[in-house]
Amino acid sequence: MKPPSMISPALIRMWGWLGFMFFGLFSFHLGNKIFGLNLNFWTSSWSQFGGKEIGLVVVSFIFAIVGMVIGWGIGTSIEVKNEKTDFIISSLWHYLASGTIVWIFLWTMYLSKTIGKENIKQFTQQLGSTFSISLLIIPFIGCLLIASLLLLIGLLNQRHKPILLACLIPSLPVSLIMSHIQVSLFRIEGYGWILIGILMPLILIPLSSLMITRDKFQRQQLKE
Amino acid sequence: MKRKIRPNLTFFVSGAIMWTWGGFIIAITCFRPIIPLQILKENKELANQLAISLRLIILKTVLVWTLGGGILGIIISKLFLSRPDYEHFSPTPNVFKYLFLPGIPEISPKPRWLTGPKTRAEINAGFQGQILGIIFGICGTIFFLPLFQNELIVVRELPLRIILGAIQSLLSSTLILPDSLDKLTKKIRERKYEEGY
Repeated sequence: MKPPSMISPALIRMWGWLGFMFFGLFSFHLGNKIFGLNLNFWTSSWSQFGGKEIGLVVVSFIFAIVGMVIGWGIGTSIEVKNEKTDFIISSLWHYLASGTIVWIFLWTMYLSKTIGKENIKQFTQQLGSTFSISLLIIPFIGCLLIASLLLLIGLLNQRHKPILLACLIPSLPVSLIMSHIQVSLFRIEGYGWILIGILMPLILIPLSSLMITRDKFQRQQLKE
Repeated sequence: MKRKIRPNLTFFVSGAIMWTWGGFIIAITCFRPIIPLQILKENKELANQLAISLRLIILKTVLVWTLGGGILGIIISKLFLSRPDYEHFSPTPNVFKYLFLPGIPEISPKPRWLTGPKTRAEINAGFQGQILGIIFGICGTIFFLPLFQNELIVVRELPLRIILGAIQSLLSSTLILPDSLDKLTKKIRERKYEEGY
């Protein structure tokens, strides 16, 4: 079968990520139930793991990789003929993916600076699942909101690279609110969250712009 | 170099002027004294102190708003220049001409804020500028104004501040692009005249 030429690289990546997450989490929970390990995905740490637990994580990871390949397959089979639709998918996906990575990186740096590397473990145990879930959910919603705002206003479009200064106006308030929610969930004192809120769009916008350009180039190559 | 600086400077100055007025209006409407008027009438010293404090707050607000307006002006210039070529060359119907009633003398050349946008690029960049301006204004009234309050003067309630911020920023931002383009067109016309075209 000949693969479709009008594929969207961002859509493939998105399906790959969905497949990875779905298969990985599903196999982890299934294994957990079958072997009666009583592991919590969000709070467990490597130091608590024995042979069975490590085995379950490794197998889940292999299943997740299989899921990712299946996801890529699904993504490849979907044709996106309209350039604008492809651009919207690409923008939303890259703001979401890059945003989450940048967010986790910034907060890990901040926490290791304020709490100290040796206290992070205790801190995460204290917060339980709130720690990891909030680190994923907040950038997930926030970055989608930023991308949607920029697309709606027309600051993100196919014709030209985004103007950083212009894009900062709608994204800064959103990222500051995200940062404030995060710091109140972590129950940390201080004003470091403002710095994270400012840094976030400053890194996110150029980074996502690069990724979107790369996707555009890849799509063009596949078309030819 | 001069040719690059002049448009940016024009947009900056235009934005700064528009937003200075906006900042002044925001400063006098969004703050209120804690002490009742009756007490102030009796205590002149306290009233003087309050007046100095209010002047300082107005100055701070106007300065922040002026700087914000200037930055917004530069952003609007970048947005206008980044519009595609076809938008710069597609004219818009001049609906504003119907506003001129017979007998009223027309101004020549008509300023853009009176005639409306002349190209699609102006409409689109103007719209983007308005949206960004509103976000800028609302965020300013939410986050910046509380920083200026003191023990004598406090900010008014948040919903009122948001409404005032939105109205002020919409009015101030709308005029930045037409005003700057008018100034630049005038400058170009003058230069052409001097060069003998």
